[in-house]
Amino acid sequence: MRAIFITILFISIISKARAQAISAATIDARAVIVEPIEIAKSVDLNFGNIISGYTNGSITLSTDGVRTANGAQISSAVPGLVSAAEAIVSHGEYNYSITLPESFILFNESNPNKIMIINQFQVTPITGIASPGDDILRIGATLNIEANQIPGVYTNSEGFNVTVSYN
Amino acid sequence: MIFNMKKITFILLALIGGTSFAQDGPASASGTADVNAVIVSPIEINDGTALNFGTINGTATGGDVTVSNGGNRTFSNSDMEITSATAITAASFNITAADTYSYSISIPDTVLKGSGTDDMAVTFTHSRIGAAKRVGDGTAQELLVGGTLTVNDGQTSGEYTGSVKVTVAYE
Repeated sequence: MRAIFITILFISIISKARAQAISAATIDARAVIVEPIEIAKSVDLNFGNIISGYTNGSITLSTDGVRTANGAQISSAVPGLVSAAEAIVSHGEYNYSITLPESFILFNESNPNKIMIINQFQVTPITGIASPGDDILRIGATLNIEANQIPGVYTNSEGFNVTVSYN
Repeated sequence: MIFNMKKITFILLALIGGTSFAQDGPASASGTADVNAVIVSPIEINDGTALNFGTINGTATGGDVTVSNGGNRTFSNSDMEITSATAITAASFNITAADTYSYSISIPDTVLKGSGTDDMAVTFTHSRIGAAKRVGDGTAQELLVGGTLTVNDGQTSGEYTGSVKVTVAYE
């Protein structure tokens, strides 16, 4: 009982001392907690089947998933799996920026020293489909094909990064 | 009074803590997507062997000479038929297309030219009629090409030649 009494007295003295040393003012204190921005991939970037040619060429895959061949040939009868990449951004209706890679390398699965380079990434955000705070990003790019590109499946298991940041 | 002050102090600390959490929390995030592409081997066709209509009797009224895809010769006008000095052959090509890929075959009509001005028209047939027969398997597939030669009335005798151009393309 005696010990408790001493403790209370000590706190009382400290509080009193502070009150004397500073002048008091009243301010409003506010804090807004913003949900962290999030991005989740929903669809991979698939260029589909491309026919090897005797000259250099490229395939541009638009953000709505349409392929355009420039000096390369695509098979319309057997297009393979073709899709623009998709990711869902949860941004809580705050402005944000999107960062895409400059370029990305694909490796031949059975012959990894044979590569293709992807560049000219482009993105189209589609706003508020599921909810006002969620966007769908559709991402396209250009695949560069060398003359007599060795046939096979080209991929890169590391995947390319898309970064979203609050402004 | 003392206990109230303690309580206020505690709430203020909580607010400061909350604010600092928002600053430290992720203001950016990265997602990763895979990229896939498939390169398909180009379709190829080699230079084939000749389509030979053989030796034909030039009659007053002409007619058609047909060489089937199998290399058999028939005449619409039997008077034109004589034993050929050379072997009758359908043309033969090899097409190599990627496995499971369908392709088209195009063989435009042409003419055979001789020393005179009376060219003879030729139309072609081939052995891969039907889409199911024009699907690649990654190996060489034989294409046989026959044709029908239209011999004009009183066709000038002599040797006539032309060329058959076969174009294959993925569909």
